[in-house]
Amino acid sequence: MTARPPVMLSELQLDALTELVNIGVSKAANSLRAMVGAQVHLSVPTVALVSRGEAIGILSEREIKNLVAVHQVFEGDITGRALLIFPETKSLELVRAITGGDLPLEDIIELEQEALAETGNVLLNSCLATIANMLHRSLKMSLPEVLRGNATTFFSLAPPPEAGDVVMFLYIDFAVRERDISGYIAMIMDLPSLTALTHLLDEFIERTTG
Amino acid sequence: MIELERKLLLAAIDALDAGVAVLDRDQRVIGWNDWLASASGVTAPQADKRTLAEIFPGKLSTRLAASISEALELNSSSFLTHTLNRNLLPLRTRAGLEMLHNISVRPLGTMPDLSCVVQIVDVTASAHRERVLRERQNARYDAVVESAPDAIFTADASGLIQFANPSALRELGFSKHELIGRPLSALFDDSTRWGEFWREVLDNPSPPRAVELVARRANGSSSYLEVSASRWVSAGHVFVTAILHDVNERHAAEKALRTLNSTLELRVAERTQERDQVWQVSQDMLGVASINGVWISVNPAWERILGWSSVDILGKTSEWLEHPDDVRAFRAEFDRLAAAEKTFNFENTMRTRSGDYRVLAWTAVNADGLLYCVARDITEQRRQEDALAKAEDALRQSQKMEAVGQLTGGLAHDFNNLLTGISGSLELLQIRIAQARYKDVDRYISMARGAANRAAALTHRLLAFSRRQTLDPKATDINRLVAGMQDLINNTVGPAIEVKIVEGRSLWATLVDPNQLENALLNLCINARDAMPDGGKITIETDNSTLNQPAAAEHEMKAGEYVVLSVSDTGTGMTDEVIQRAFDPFYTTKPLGQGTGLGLSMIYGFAKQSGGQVRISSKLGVGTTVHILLPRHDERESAADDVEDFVAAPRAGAGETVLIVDDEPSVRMLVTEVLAELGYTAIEAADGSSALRVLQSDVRIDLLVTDVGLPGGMNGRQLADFGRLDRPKLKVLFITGYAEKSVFAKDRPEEGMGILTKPFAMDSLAARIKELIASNG
Repeated sequence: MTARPPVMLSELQLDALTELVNIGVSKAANSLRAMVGAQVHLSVPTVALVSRGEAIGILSEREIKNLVAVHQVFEGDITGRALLIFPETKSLELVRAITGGDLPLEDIIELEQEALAETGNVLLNSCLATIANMLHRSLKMSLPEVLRGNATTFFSLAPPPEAGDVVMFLYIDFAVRERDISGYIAMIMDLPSLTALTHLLDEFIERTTG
Repeated sequence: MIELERKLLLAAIDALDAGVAVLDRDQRVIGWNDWLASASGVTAPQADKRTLAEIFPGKLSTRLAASISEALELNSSSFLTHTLNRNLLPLRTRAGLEMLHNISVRPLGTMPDLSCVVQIVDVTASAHRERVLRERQNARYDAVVESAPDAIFTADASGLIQFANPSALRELGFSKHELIGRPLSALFDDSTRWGEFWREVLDNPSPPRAVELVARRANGSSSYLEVSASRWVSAGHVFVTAILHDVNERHAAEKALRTLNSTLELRVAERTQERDQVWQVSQDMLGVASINGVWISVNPAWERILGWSSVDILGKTSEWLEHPDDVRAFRAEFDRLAAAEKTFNFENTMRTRSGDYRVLAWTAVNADGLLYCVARDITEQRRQEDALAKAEDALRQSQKMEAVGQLTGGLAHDFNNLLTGISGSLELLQIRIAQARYKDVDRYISMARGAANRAAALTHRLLAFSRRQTLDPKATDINRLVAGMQDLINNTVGPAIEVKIVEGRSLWATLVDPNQLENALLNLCINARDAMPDGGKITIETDNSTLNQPAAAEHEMKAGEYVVLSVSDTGTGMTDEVIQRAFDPFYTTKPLGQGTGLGLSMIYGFAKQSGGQVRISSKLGVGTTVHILLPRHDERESAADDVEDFVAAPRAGAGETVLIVDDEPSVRMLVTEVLAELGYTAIEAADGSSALRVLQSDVRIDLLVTDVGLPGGMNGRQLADFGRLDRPKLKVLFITGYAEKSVFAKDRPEEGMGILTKPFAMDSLAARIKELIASNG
């Protein structure tokens, strides 16, 4: 599992992907801004393509064991799962940031589930849909689902992919109402999907540069 | 899935407990089920082919609109909650209440020919239930937390503040907005301590012991807080609730106590140092001894004064270095000390290392079973006192010699005065007899006798004075006494001085020795005369006087009734300095030979002894008045002693012979005359040896009358003793000017012996002679 993925993105392909993702999250930021009525900044400074094992290692290393994730499945030319992941301790902060901070703690705990689901949905939709749109492809996305657990449980969801998989790992920074919250977006794809993605990226690069 | 008939499918959609709207790619309604028609109040025909924005003008949320657009354009699904999106659509329940609802938007079909379905779920009931539950919880929670006097924080597992109660805001001075989301650790000064505490809270299911931490308030001041905390879990989240109890008061009290303690220690140290300093530098010997006198501690002064080191002194009593004469007394003092908690002062002498002795004055007190002693070395002081005593003795001796000189001169002066009176009278007597003018003879005779009596009294008094004998006070009428003195005073002061007597009326009697008072009066008159060398006036005044308490106290007397005898002159007066010293013995302003210096001091002593007082008032150049105050006496003066009649004296028997021995011819002649008058035969002898020859002969001698002091190496006593060898029953009468009893071995006349003091009255002599001869010697 620690082996390097068989297909690697070129630097150019990664740059293109990073740009696409940033376009996606900036759209998400607009959506969130409309929703919470406050300035929202989102940015994805880096994109990395790692194996599932590496992804688990990175998360386990950097974050305390309790994590929270918003999970959505996407299907189409590229198929896989998208996860927006936060340390559990940050999730309440995120909810508080989004809801405005004046709500009592009890309310925030109650709201957490739905609020996380909706926020994650907005963010993931924007990212995936924007990428798909830019690549002239269509992805069908499921409704969001909130998961609690650790890196291992998040990356071992049933059913397991048939032919190995790869994780596109994005760091994401939120800045809402003077709070800075960092989390991750992980897109777990099987190898055919990744191959399709590289082709799509190449087409996109050709279009935009050519 | 089973293919349903279109009609059945539509019925199923209408029967759903959820709202369903299907929109075509232009967002126009192509499906609208009954549930939605009921909730929105818009029927399916009304909604048909219209967009949601048209159906709910101004009331469609932008979020829903965006989601629909995304679904149709991007093929994405959206979930919109009532929690984040108020009033997604204007929907009502069947009862007409506002309906809380969640919406999901899903795309249908494939791109680019997409439509979407909008599903609406009623969550009013569950939201309402949650709210009721929450409110109920909150009510309890608020009662405790919101009104708690302690600051209460709830932080999430990462330590960020999620909740702060009003006391917390008040205590730290932050607004809620400033606190929420901040790390709780930022509140405390000691982040290490807090970190340890925090880990302990997170790692242990049971809350750890409270810790005291200093928090920093918004205004920068510090606050002492006792922090207790426990963790709890809600919906999978770990929280920590911390209670911060204000212990500033307790802390301030503790701090004050600590300050007090530390300053107390400092003060005690200072005191101790002071005492130690005193102990070290004291010039006096300081020591602490047990109750039995064993020295426990001594200061360095011991070594300085006695030369013995503390090693020599400690652990035993100081008996070994005490002077043998002192040991017993010193032990006794220690025993007394052991008995009572009282301070004692005593002296002893202790031996120094070099062998000499130091005199020590001790002050010791028994406190708590220990003897605290201070000894001052008074050796030098003693030496000086001794030297002073010697010097004083020497001074007294020289003063005595001076006094004797004064006295001798003064006596000569006094006697001269008296002799003047006597010889003057005799001279006048001789003249009157020669002129055969017998009328005044008696007066001159009594004047001479009076002077002679006073001279006799003077010598008596001198003898009495030298022997410190007390004289015999009698009830005395002072007016009579003064009147009796008038002639003598006149003669004594001379013609240049006028003597005026002012007698007080109904004068009280007083208890006094009349002879002393006469002498005092004469003395005062002589002083007055001497103060008026160019003549003047003497006023003798008597009066009654009653002294009240203040007046009496002023003169150091008892209040009461007094007789005052005053002698005033118009003389030179006295300075204050002279008045101050006027009563000192031997003090005189007169030239040598003119005064004894005893006059006023004797008057003073006599007046005091008689229960009275002497006061002097004087003004330089104007005169002096001396007042003698004597206490009133209830008895009247007894009838004047009968003048013993020489003529009535007993006569001698036939042939009775008396041997008279005296070196003074006038005395011999006088005694012979008297004896002849009385019918005795008298044989005269001038000294002891010639008298002894007479005694050794067989001449009849009925009585030996002899002076005690005789020339020729044999005194009267010895003469009598030799005489008695041949005439064992010889009767002897000693006449002496000294009134000494030394002639008698046992201070008492032996059988057949008598003594008569010169001068004597002739009838006294006759009586004594008669008495002795008549006795059975």
